[in-house]
Amino acid sequence: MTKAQQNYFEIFGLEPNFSIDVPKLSSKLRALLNSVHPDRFASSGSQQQMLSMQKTTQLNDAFAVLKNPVKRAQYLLHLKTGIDTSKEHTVNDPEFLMQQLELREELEDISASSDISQLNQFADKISELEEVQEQQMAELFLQKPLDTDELQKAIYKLQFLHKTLSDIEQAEDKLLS
Amino acid sequence: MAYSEKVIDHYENPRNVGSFEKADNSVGTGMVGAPACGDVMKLQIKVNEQGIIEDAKFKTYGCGSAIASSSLITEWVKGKTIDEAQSIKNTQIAEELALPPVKIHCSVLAEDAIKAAVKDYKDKHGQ
Ligand code: FES
Repeated sequence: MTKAQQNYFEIFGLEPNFSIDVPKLSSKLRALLNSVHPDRFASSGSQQQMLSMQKTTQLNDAFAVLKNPVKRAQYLLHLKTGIDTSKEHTVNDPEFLMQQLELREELEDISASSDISQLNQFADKISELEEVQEQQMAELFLQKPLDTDELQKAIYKLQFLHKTLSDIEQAEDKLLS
Repeated sequence: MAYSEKVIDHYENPRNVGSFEKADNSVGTGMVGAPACGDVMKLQIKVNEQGIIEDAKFKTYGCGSAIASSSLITEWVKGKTIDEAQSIKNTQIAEELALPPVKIHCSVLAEDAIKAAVKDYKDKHGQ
């Protein structure tokens, strides 16, 4: 079998970088999925069909990781340094965590007041924080040599922000239902 | 996955939710978080002159097991010395609450939080 060893970036013909144009990536995905679609191999042997199914899965797996900033950062860090940040661990970063706790408190108050416009404003605020964090991540990944301590910090910060974002989505669903 | 009765009890009627004044000299504050799930936990102890924990409070944004673990540990540490509190193991919490293996890390968070709170208290007092 060819190219089983391609990394997720290579699959999409990309350099391994943190900055990614996600809309572009998803049109690329569609094109690639189309080219390996099992229907195209309907008349070929079952081996070909099997292969096309494998490719489809591989493409979807790669896309799921690359489109998600947290997973992309973890994957990229692992690719470049072998460091695995996906394991369960505790972080002890009082200042940052206090800020996160306050954000969750704020969200709790907003949810309790059922004020959708306030919730939207809060969502914008968190998205902005996340953008700043992603920007910083991109810069960190361009440094040579890589500052792995800072990268691991940046990754967990993004993870906590992401959790707040998904809590916001849940709160929205609740308010709108 | 079903939560045990004890978890549900602590989750529905959490003990000692709240805060102490962080700057208070008799207070130690532990802030910890688990990046994998994005949960955050604040645990505070109020310590008297003899080094005994008189009161404890927590605030946890996280899963039921994390809330139950922090609720339980605040109960346990009251009346203990800070050194005794520091030696509480997450396995004791997990056992008491009958946490399933996938939820063990939630009790680890509580253990780390109490350790961080004691450390904060000791730092404040130059110990
Ligand atoms: S799942 Fe995050 S602490 Fe339990």
